[in-house]
Amino acid sequence: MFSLQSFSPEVLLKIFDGLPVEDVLNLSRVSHYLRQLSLCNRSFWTRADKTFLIPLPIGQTLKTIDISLIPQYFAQAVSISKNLQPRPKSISPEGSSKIQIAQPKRISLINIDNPFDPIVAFMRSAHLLPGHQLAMMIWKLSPEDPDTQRMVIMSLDRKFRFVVNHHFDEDAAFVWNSKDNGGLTWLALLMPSRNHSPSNLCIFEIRCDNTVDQPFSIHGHRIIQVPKSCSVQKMVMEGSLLVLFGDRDILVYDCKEGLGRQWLRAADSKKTSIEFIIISPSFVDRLWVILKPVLVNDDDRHSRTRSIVCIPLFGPDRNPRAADSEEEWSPLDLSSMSIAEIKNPDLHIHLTSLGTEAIINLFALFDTYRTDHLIARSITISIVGAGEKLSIVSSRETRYEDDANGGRDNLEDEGSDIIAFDHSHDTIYSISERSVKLLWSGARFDLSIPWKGKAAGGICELPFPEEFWVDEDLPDIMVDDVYGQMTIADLPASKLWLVQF
Amino acid sequence: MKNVGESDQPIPLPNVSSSVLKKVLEYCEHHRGEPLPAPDADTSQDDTRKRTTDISEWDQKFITVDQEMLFEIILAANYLDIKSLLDVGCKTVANMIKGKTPEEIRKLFNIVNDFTPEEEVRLLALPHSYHQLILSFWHHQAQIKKENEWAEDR
Repeated sequence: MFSLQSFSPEVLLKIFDGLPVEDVLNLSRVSHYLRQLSLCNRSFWTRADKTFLIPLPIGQTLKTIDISLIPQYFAQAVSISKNLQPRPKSISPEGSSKIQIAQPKRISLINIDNPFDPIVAFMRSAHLLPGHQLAMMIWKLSPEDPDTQRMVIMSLDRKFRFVVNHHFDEDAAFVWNSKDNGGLTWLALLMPSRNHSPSNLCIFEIRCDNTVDQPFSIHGHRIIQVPKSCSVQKMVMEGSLLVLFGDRDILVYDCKEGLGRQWLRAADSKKTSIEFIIISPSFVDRLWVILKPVLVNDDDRHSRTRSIVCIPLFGPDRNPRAADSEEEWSPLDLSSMSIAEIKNPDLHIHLTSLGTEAIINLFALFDTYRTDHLIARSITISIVGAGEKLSIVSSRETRYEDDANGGRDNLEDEGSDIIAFDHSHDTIYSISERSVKLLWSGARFDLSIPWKGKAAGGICELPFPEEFWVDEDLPDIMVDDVYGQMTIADLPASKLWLVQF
Repeated sequence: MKNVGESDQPIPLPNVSSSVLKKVLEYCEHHRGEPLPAPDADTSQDDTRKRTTDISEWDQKFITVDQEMLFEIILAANYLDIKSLLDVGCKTVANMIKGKTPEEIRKLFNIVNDFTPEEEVRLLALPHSYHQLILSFWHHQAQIKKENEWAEDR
């Protein structure tokens, strides 16, 4: 009897060619021969779908990466794409506002056994990585006793823990970020400057190998002094590329090469300031920067216009240099890079980018506490040719009025509500004393859906069990917008809730 | 037929059995008069690759045969260089593969799994489920409780 493998390679490749990437991945796990065959033709993979979701290391493309690793990378992309499906999936056929919200699949209570005095301990759960890679950290800041100042990084299954002894300022604030990068995670901590001392940036390189008993190991630990003259407070990370930014300055740092790629002064702090930066997995060679004007007086608030600027990271004047170099920075000429202006009246702007080879979607959600509506805007920007020419192909805006029963009242009356966003799933979490509400805007896909209130329907309440009480000081809530889950930490009770949807 | 030229001599077809040849001729008869597909365009340069696995109704009926016949038709179409028939055959096999796990594919196509268990684990490289994570967490709980001062020992 014939086996599939009796076909000539040409015929088999023809069969491969008609399959989506998920099925080719499955084929590549059938036998050695089929695996070799699936890997003999790089162009199959470079032309495949979902390439934009692959967490490739910085500087690598599908054309340069070790071909034997390609299936693993694609497996990650497939797994991510499954999680990126908008939830909930079913909207009633009448197109009415009844939305079936996704129910959480699991709510787990985990006793975290906090080793520190809970009053001075803080905790963050880092990016929830695939499998058991969930990493958390706890640190203690004790001004009285410098010897006990330490920070702990640990995984949720407690098999891995790493203690950092470092001199922390008593009011040091931490910002961290980490992204899975094919088993390699960079964790960055930014300790902003105090009393004119320079900011410190700590970078940890955490490796994960699921095939061994002790999956995590720390391989690197670097501390970089950020020049005094620059203001950085926030970070975003894509692959190994870490982008730090403040009101006017951007530092692009490549964790892999240990080099500050560049310092950029993007905004004139008298006129504009940086509000947000995104970097898309498919375009690690450019930054999308949202600039907002500096307000002279509060009345200007409602006429505020933000601009989107796309800054290329490569070019003749973009040479890597040491991250702590004190060299004078040259300000950027933004007029040639500005691509769009967006008008919005109020406070918050949240963006996601899901780059494909041609399009980046910006999803902006403007949460207005002062006014009675919410605006969602989807801007599609097309990249023509080699990526230098940018143009807006569509821009949609929807204004959501609250219904009579008003979610607005909830927001204003229950001041202790916390709002957390999961940009990738268009989900908004609203956490109050006794429950988590899951609101779904769906605005990226259907701009006519109202976002809250009874008419909107899309509310899922997750009542906390009796023993769990979120007090005013507020739990630490981390939303993982890649894998669609959330952790709520209750430190005084040494408990952690993991809510998975 | 390519590379053969005009000849009255019989053309030997050692790789094609008569029942398969009959089937192939049936296909050719039905599609006679249709324009030939463009001369083998280099597919690697074809950026807008079609992943379509649509098959016309007649072809669908025609190719609904047992697996052995299907495979022989593909081999014959390849050997006789009948591009459109080869396409139909390959699409049919692709449709059979779609959505199947590696183990199902092995069963379906009679392929021996020649990966060692260790290799399989490495190939998978897929994340453990969170469920397992939580379970393993509780399993380790008792052990962990013994390590009261765990942060201090570093």
